[in-house]
Amino acid sequence: MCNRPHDPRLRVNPGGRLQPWEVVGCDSFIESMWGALRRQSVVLSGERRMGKTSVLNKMEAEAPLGVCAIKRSLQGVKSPEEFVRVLVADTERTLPGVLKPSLRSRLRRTGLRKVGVSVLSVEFDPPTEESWKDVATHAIEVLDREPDVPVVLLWDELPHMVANVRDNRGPHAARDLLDLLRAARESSERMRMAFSGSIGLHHVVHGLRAAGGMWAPTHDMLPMDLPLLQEEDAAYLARELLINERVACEDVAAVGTAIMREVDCVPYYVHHTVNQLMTRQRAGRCGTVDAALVREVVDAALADPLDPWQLHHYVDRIESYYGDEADYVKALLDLIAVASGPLSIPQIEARVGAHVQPPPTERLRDLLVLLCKDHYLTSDPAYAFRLQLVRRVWRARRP
Amino acid sequence: MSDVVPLLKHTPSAQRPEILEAITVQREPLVAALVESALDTHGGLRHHLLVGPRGIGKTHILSLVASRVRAADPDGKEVVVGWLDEDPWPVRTYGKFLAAIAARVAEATGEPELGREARELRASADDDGLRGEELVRRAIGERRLLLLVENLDEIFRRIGADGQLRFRAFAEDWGRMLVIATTPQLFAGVRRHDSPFYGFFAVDHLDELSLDSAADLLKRIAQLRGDERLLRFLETDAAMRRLRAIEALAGGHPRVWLLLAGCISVAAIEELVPLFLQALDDLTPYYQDRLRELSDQQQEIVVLLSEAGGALSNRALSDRSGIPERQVATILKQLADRGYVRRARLPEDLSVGDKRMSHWELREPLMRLCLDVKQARGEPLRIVVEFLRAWYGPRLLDELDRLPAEARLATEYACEAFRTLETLSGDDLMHGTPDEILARVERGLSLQPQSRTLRIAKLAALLMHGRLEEGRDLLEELISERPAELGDFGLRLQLVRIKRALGEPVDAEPVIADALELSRRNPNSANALGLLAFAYDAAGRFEEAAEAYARAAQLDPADAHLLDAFGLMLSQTGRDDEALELFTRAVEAMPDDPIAHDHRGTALNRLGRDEEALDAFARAAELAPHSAMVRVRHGATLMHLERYEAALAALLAAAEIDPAEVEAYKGQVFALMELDRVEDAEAACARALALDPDDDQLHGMHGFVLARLGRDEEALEAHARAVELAPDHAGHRNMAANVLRRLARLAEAEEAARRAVALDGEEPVYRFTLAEVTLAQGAADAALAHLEEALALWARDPALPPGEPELLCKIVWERFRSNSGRRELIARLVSAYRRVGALDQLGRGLVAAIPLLLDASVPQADVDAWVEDWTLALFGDADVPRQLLDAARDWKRDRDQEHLLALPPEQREILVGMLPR
Repeated sequence: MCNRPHDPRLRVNPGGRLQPWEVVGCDSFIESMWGALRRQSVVLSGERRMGKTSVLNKMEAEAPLGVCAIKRSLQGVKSPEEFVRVLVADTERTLPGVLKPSLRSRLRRTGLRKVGVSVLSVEFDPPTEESWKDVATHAIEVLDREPDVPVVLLWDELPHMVANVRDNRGPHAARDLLDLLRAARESSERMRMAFSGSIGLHHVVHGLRAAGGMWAPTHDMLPMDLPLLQEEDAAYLARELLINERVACEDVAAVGTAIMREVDCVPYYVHHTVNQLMTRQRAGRCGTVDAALVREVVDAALADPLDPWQLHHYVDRIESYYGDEADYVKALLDLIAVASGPLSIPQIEARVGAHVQPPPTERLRDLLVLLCKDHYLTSDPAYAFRLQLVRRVWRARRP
Repeated sequence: MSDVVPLLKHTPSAQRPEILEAITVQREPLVAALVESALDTHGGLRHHLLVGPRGIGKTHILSLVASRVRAADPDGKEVVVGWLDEDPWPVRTYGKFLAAIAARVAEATGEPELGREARELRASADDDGLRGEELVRRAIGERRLLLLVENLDEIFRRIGADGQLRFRAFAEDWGRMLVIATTPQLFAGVRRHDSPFYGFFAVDHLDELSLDSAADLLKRIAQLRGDERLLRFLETDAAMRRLRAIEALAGGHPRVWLLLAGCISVAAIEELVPLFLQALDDLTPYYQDRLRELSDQQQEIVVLLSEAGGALSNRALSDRSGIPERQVATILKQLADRGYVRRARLPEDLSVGDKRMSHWELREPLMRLCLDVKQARGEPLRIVVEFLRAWYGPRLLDELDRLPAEARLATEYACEAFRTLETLSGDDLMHGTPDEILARVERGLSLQPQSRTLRIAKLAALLMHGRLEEGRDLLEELISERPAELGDFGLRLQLVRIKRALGEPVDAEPVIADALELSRRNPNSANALGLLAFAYDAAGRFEEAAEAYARAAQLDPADAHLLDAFGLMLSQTGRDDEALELFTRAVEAMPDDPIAHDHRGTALNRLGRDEEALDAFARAAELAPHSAMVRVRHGATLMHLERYEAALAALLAAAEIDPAEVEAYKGQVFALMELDRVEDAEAACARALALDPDDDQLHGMHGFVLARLGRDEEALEAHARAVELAPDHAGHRNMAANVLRRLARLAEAEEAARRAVALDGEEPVYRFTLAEVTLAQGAADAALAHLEEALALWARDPALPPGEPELLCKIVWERFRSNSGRRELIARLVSAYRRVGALDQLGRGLVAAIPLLLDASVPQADVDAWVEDWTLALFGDADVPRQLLDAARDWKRDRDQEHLLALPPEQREILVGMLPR
């Protein structure tokens, strides 16, 4: 058991925005992010609700001395122009006035008659398909050169924006956007980018890639996967939440550990489980909490037809993620889910044949890699479910 | 009832916060948590989504949150409350949503310029909301915006997927907006893993009210309206039984309870039918409105379920509506999410039949009854409510004379101990129980055997103990020592009084003559007149006593002892109102005298003002902590009010103070029986009998308790002893008759019942017993004659249930199984009950007897014949019992769950509880 001090500020908050000090157990990962960002830009991946946004928020709030971090959620951005608007707005907010003169003089030379720059609007006149590119490029150049300190752009939900642009303007516009960002990174000396998103960037890029093409707009960026919390951090979080929410426990340390184990150290589900326990106890629907009750609450959440933890999407999304190969992927997950331990590729190959016609070994390897990227599996080096929670749901809910 | 505090059942947001606070039940922990989240401006943003169907109390909660947050930060220095309109009509786009937020912020902060900008924004085409976002950011600055949004599902539908994405990004990037939202059901915008707001909120599903919370709500409303009578009634078990019947129909929907509360009164709850019929005026439009909120197809499904009454499968709904089955499944899912319907479930072991089928029913049975358009207005509701009232009402069964006996006894406790306590005084010697006083006095007397003070104290203790003979002897001894002293006038008076109480010949004239002489010599002395009044009083010459008391009280209006004695005399002669006035004056004059409070309590008790009596006894107990009898009376009053736990506590305290106090144990027996602690009641009986083995009432109670324990032979012995001790007590004989019937000693039972009727021909209970006994003997004509006589007597004052219809049904079932005359007998039974308007009670008895039919050894043909006989006799009446009887018969035949599912839920629950498992 760790002997970290009690922190009364940690309160149950399943899904809401956390204060930086409420983001428990990510310090060393964040440190490694900053280390990587000193060298190159980064793509931060992780399953939804695993804490990527909280990590970015904490990075922005607690950026190292001599670094200017600008965080932005690109979730609602539908077009390149809108992207430019938020980029300009953020630049203005962070470095007021830095853009206006340089942008105006530079863009006038390109033939634009009017570029209104304010937080609220960037007006392109004439509004050509390409006019956003100059503004974006210039803004990034300014961010690279003007400030006294290096700028790090923390862009959350970037894959969402790319998908939106693809849907609204077609694949070429989305490709242009990613290419422009890559070019900007390549020409920047100090400026860095960190992309993150709840949908896998690899899926979006794959969809934009021409058949058989090798286009890789983020190959210069370091992929970093947000790890699960350490067991002692997750148990600490659970304990602190139980204490601060005054959940009466038989043995708060044992209950904290039970929660950590039941939810695979995922902080989001730690919050949820404590919330459930708290709600039950306040409503008089349970007495003092023990490890058995924790198991019962988690089981109930997994079995609830309303699927409050939305774990069923791990089953549902297979079709949309893997298209024609969905049945094959399901068979793979079925056999890994019921196996008593991790399975090697030859073992998987041997077993999958009993269920479906197996693809060539190479394709099997690719699919296993994709399943790891989509956070179903880990390979160490044999394959197993990354989260026992997902394994339980897969086993229980597989139609 | 005057609706002095109008409750806004549909618009809690317009209700004054203090009223909302006063009627908040069950939700306090949630409200407190939400307010804490809102005010924790240094902590994270804990967004909440409250989910529950319309009327469950979502707006009520938001109103409380808004008012508490505003109260905590009145100037909005830390938190600005922006509460959007419940109806989202002006919000068509994300831009307009932001404009609406800005307008609310302007309102909250009182910034006209911001208001103007918000109006401009609303009129503009800023659909991407960037200007709105900036406006709101600017206005809030470094503070926090608490955004309260109702119908979030509708708002999200209106702002569309793009708007949701933008709003999520705005919330994320800004980090100063805490959202507490409500929705009638979870929706894709927060539920789906790929939606922007997935996992954003802590979701709180609002539970329906529990029965206790509903009762609490009604009490709070009664309190708000100052309806003390209703408040007292709601504390009783009788009220809880009625509320249970309401719950069976209304479920735990707070708005429905609020609507009912608008018509609630003691009489309305007691009768129930008028309550529902009055509430129908509010309920019908409420349910019609809820129906209008649905699409055409959804409406059709709801109406089909309403018409069916019971549950229907997807297939049946598809057949009846013509809507494809798959679509029906989708509609049902939507309706379930919105709280209109629910899946009908049976216990696992009863789910026999096609298990693949889902069955659905309306979530609130009341909706069905209010929407029923086929029949006369309110008629189906009346029928169901009448049956439920009977079903959940008190049951007599084998405990027929329990309530009257209890009521009598409670009064008797009060009367018996009335006078003995008079002698309690503040003397040093006189504290503790009578036994303790006696022990103390005896110790003193062993040292000073002739001490007059000690002997007077002993006299008082003996009188408190009820040991009147010993008291009389001691008094005579004391008087004989100093016969001529006027100072002992009080002792002579006491002697007169004791002798009268003992039924001994007494000559009060010398005392009266002395008193008259004294008053003649001192015409303006209140004391002298008081003594005269005491003398007349002791002699039983109450008219003259009253006149003397009145004159004395006129001379000295503050003489509390005089007022108290006057009050006692008046109460003894039945003039309770006047007595109460005098006791009240005595209490005012002697606020710290326990006796005055005690007497006042007893008078209030006799006037039926039990709640006030409780206060008086509580004060008396406080001032006389060693008086067991005060606690006994306190306990008896609590029992009147059906607060059995509290009554038991008071009576246990009484026994602890005085372990020899028989009345304390007697009271305990009743309280324990009510609390269903029969073994403990038997132990209390045994203790009381050890103290007073010749108390007939105690033996009667003991017999009753033993019978409840199934120890009929011993019970019979106890009743026989009670009859022996009090041969003229009809109740003892009636109890004996009941036990004898159960022991199948029918001739003796008949004899006992006949003797009971002979002793008290006006009591219907004894005639009901006689009817049951003769019916068990197979004498149908005689039994019906007794029953009709009993019912005729009962109808004059139908306070108690009309006999034991369940027992009658049981006897008919067992004794007349293969009797050709059974059909006629049943018809005559029905007609007897119908004549006095008590068919619902017979119906209840018929339903309660259903388990007999379901016994595995009973052939189906017998059950079919039984149901047919009753169906013919009931001839279209008693719908609910007939339906239950039919369902039981059909279920016995093939055990198919369909028969159970076809019943309306409130009826199904009753039948399912009776099925063999």
